Amino acid sequence: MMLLEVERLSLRFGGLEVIRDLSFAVPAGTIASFIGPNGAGKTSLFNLITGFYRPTAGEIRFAGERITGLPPSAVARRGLARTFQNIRLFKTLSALENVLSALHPRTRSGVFAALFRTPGMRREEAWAREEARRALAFVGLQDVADRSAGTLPYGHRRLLEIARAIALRPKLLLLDEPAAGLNPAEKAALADLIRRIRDELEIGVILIEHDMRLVANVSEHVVALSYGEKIAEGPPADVLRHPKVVEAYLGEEAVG
Amino acid sequence: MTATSFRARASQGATAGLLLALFLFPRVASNYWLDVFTSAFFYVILALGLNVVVGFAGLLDLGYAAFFAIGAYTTGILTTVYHVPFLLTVPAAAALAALSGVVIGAPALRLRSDYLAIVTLGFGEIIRITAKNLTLTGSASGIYGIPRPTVFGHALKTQQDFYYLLLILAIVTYLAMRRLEHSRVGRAWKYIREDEDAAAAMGIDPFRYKLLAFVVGAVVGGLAGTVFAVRMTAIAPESFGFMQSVLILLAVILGGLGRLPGVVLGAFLIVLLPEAMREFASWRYFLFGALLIAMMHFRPEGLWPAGRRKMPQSGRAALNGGDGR
Amino acid sequence: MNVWGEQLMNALVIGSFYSLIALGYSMVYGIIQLLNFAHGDVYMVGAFVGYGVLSAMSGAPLFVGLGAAFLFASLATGLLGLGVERIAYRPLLQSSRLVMLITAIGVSLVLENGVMLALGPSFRVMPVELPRSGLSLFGADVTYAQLAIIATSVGLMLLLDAFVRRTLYGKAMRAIAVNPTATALMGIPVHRVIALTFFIGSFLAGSAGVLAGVYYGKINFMMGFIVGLKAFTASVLGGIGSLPGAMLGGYLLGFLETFGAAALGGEWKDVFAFVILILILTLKPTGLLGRTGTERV
Repeated sequence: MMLLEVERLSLRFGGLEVIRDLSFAVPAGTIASFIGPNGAGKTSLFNLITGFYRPTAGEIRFAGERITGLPPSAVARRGLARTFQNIRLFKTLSALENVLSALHPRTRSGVFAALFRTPGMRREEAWAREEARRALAFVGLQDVADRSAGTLPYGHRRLLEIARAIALRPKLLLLDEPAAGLNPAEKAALADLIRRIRDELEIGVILIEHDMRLVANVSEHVVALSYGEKIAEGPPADVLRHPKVVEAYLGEEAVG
Repeated sequence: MTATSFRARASQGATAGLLLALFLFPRVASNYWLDVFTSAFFYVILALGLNVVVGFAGLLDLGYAAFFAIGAYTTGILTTVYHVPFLLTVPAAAALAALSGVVIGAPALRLRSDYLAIVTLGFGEIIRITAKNLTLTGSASGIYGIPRPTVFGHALKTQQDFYYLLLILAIVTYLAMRRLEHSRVGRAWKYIREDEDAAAAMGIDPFRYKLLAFVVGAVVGGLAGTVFAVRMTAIAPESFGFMQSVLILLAVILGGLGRLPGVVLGAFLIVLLPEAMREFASWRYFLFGALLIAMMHFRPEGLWPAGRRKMPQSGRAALNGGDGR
Repeated sequence: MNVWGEQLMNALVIGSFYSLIALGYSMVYGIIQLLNFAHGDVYMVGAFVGYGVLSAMSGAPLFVGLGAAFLFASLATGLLGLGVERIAYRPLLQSSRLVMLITAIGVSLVLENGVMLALGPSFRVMPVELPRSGLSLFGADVTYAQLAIIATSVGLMLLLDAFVRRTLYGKAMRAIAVNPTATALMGIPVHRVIALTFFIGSFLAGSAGVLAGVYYGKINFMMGFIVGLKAFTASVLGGIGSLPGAMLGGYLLGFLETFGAAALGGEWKDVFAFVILILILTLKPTGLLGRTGTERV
């Protein structure tokens, strides 16, 4: 079964075509990667899939349901979680409170429950905190639960964002450059974590990544983009050696 | 560990002492000071209500007095024209305030949330002008002869009665706000205030929670209005103008946006400061304006000593929900 | 026919004032996304400066006095706008929107009450009286003063339009609206462009203030409060950020309000604008000439 299907998707900002007639599909339970030089439209594609951008044309289906045009919160509730390229944590709140945000869709208590501290509300609150701690423990951050997110070291902030996303219990997790700024040891741990997310939590993963060794190491499926168009798709070994992909990256290196 | 528990116990002790002093105050105070403090409790309730909108959710409401007016007029009209007992007017006032909160909040909040500021300002004026023009609301002279209420068999008449009524209501409001702040709903507001996009990516619908904050604020304002009507026994449109809204906003900002003890401090300051400088009465709003500017430049988090948390200051991104734009 | 013609002229005059003020609202919002609540008070200050100039020149011929009052008041309010931007807003450009909005409220209170403290709370009567002479257009009596006000306002708007279209300033303004950081990196003096925007916006509001002061004959420190709100409504009606939109919105609001008040009674005049504002936000939030934007994350 295909978990995510993208069909003839286009996105325009005025005269600029960011995504052009893009189609691909990712099966359930896969670790996939989007690669491509800077400006290829990878992050825009994430924003389209998660509802932050509205496509100019085309369709996105998730678990068989059409999600094109749904607002971000509705997309998230259907089981699509994401992280952000530049880490978007709630900086002044504690690590635990950050993760608690993802428990929101799976809890119910409203204003009246809060005012009267109903037994149901207390039970739910205790359960949510436990879930959040479990997610923190999964990425190895159980010891910093009470520290405010803004004071955590960079590597921990990346992990906290992942913990927050998996606490949503999504079917698919989109990671935007999760390895950016990490050292080799942290990158190896990240590759491990990504595999554990898929194997133990049964969450599919799509990452945007520039580190080709990480891409080759963890992903089973790769989609290569250049100037908003798909230039190759398939197993990493094939895509990374595809002449158009090599050309796109060489072109970038020759310029940059 | 011991340091924090000592601090917690010290602050508990201070709170208990303060409350005891407030409960004993009528024994020593003159009627004049009783009245001043009753007003202060009143502004505590209003400021706590507005704080849900401005402090918790990070939205600007410039017409808060409109909800206060809706509550006051509902009670005023129902008790004088239809002879409805006071307590029955309370749910009616709350419902009407909530309804107008939805009608005003929904169109504005669907867009950029800063439109809410000007829409609420306009709404405040609509309510005031409408109250001034309708015969039902007594036109410019307002409604008078609102009967004193009977609460659980006890008729409230004296200044002392109202002092205690408002003191208790202020305490109840404070406790309710504290529960709300540390609940699932309160957290959702904080997430949206800190980073709207990240909150949405976690399945929280920003529009829904902003509207909820706005409506909760409206209901608290409406409830305060009902009490205002029976305490004053007469209400007029000019009590609900823009300056009233600014005054309540000032209370919220002065003490500490989003921090409950700070909001209480702010409410006391806006009532007690003018008392302290009566001879400069005409300077009042000029100084308030200058104070607002100065606070935003030098201490946007308010006068209450900074704790662990700080006002979201991370660029326009914090409220705008974007970075680099 | 007669009455309607006169109402039409009233609408055009009021619309001119709204348009001139709405332009400043729209320009400032367009460039730094600030709802400048103090903008209506700049209009009020313009009227008071005009009053001061006319009082000082009471012996001069009418047109000399009016010309001097107009020029001096517009320039003075332009400078006031510059000062407000420099002192109150510039240090906060990196702060949250809430902080900026609250500051704008503070500026508004300071301007209103500053004038009140200096000159008193009561109405002042302008020391000149406009000639009542005029002509008959399609059976309606139209004064030369009305025609002059409309012509002056339209002239100012055409000048602004040409300036924004023909000079680099217009381009820089749009660039800052899209991305201030990138614009600064391109070597464009962002602060100077923002300051110029405040100058122009305040200049226009100040000129509207003198014109309105002379036209109505009475001025007061609170005169900018409601007018500012209505001008904001006008800019939302036309599409905030769009200059032609602000002009259109101003005139449209002038018409709706004049004819609405004629139909329902003058005491409801001030409610109109706000009802329109709420309706527009519900039905067509981008305004008549505004653009929709997918600009997020």
